[in-house]
Amino acid sequence: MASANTSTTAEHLIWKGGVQPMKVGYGKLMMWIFLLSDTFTFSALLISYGLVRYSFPTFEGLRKNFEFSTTWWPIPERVFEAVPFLHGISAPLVFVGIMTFILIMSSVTMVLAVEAGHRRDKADVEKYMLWTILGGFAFLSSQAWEWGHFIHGTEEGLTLANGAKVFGANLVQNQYGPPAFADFFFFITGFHGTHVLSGVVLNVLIFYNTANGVYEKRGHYDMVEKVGLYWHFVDLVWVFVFTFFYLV
Amino acid sequence: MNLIVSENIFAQKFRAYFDLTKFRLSSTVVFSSAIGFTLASDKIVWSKLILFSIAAFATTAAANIINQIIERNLDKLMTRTENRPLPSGRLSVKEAAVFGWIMAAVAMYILFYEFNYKAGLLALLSMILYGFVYTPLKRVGVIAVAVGALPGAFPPMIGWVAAVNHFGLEPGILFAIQFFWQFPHFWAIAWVLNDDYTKAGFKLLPSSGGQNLYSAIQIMIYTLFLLPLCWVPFYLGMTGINSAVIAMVFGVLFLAQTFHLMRKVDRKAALQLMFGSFIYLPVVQIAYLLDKL
Repeated sequence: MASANTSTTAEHLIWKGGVQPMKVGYGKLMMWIFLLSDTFTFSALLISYGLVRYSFPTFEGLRKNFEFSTTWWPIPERVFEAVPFLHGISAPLVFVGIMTFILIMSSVTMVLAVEAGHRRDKADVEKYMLWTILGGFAFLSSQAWEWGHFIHGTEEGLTLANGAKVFGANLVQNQYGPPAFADFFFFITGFHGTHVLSGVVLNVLIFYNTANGVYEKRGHYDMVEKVGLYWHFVDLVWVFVFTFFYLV
Repeated sequence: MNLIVSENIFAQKFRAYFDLTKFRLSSTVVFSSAIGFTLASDKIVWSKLILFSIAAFATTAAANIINQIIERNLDKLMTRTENRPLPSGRLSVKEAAVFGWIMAAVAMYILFYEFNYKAGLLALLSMILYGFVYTPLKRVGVIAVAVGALPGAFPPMIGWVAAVNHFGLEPGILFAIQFFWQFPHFWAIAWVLNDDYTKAGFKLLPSSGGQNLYSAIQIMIYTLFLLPLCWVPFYLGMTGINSAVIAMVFGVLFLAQTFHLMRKVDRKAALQLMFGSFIYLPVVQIAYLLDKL
């Protein structure tokens, strides 16, 4: 069996193993690499948003005299000023502010779940995972309402130059501004919402495994930490989406 | 021979007085107050700006001297501070006190006679708050941080008031940003220096458990306030939107550092947050200045 020792592969190409690259486990390193690739995707989306946004004219005149038109880019705080149950009241960016707060708080409960995992406290991990899942659902429901409102539009709508009226926004027409504004809104916040949805699914899985004692048997709660990384990432991305979409 | 020795003594004394002003710390205070002064001025008058900076420096130096006189015995207990002029005996309490009075007098003369009494009173208030309220409170507990954040946040406000002689929302917002910034800034430092602080009996971290997750969460909560606040100068029409975006991006990164501290709960993450706080405030203030309307 002398041939077992002679390899046809060059020495320097063989993976040696037995080391811990970047001082993290394999799963966590792969999660970081995935998050890095996702960062590129979101950056690409936000950069294209910026390019298209500035290729359109901005409203000239005082902010308080702003009027909607399909020729210039809208001022976001005038578009997103509705809050559920407060019909007809102008509350610029209040609802989206609440959504952001919910998501950040769910990141806090995620940290608490990870910390409970370090202590191997099963009951605490379950408790904080449940809060995190609840936060995720609250965010998704708020986003559904926000989308619904955006799609249906206001009662007044927008009267075009030819007299036709436009109500709400979809991929081809938009009462708030150029159709590109609605396209980007649906695509970027939708892409982020899908991430939140996947995060909630992952969180539910982790909760299920924790409740069944899978991690207790395994001897560590590393999975909570890995999913925690993803959840923080989704949170961080939202703050940037919020900044560029709702504030600029 | 004698001449050389006496020159040497003179140099040592000069060095000791220089150390007593805590030059590096004071310069950062002067920087933020000069930002407030310049933001309020329609055009920069360099002679006025330099004069104001001298007054700001003297105010801070006087406050630092009061602090060092009161804490001279505690400073001996901490490795970080045992070489300060008073605990090491390079200066006597009397020498320090006289120098402190001179600094305070210079500051008050300039502010009251060259600028206005409002700025002078605010500077006096921050000196008293820092020297006689914050310093003794440090041994009482975490309340000291909230009290200390007031004089820590006054500088840009004093600068604004010195320039235009009236209060308003604008100096208020500069104050608010710096006020909330103090909490992550100060607690990151307290975290890093916790061993030294414990020796002197200072308990300044927000959670009674000291360096734990609950302190980290409270640090995060105070940092959260910076995100909406950084937009206020834009909505008040003080600055353009570009500086608001820069402030938001740096605020988000600063907030991410507090999450990093919550995940790691260790000294290294606290040290990174501390450097983050050193970067955040000047970047945001310079952005506002460049983007002034």
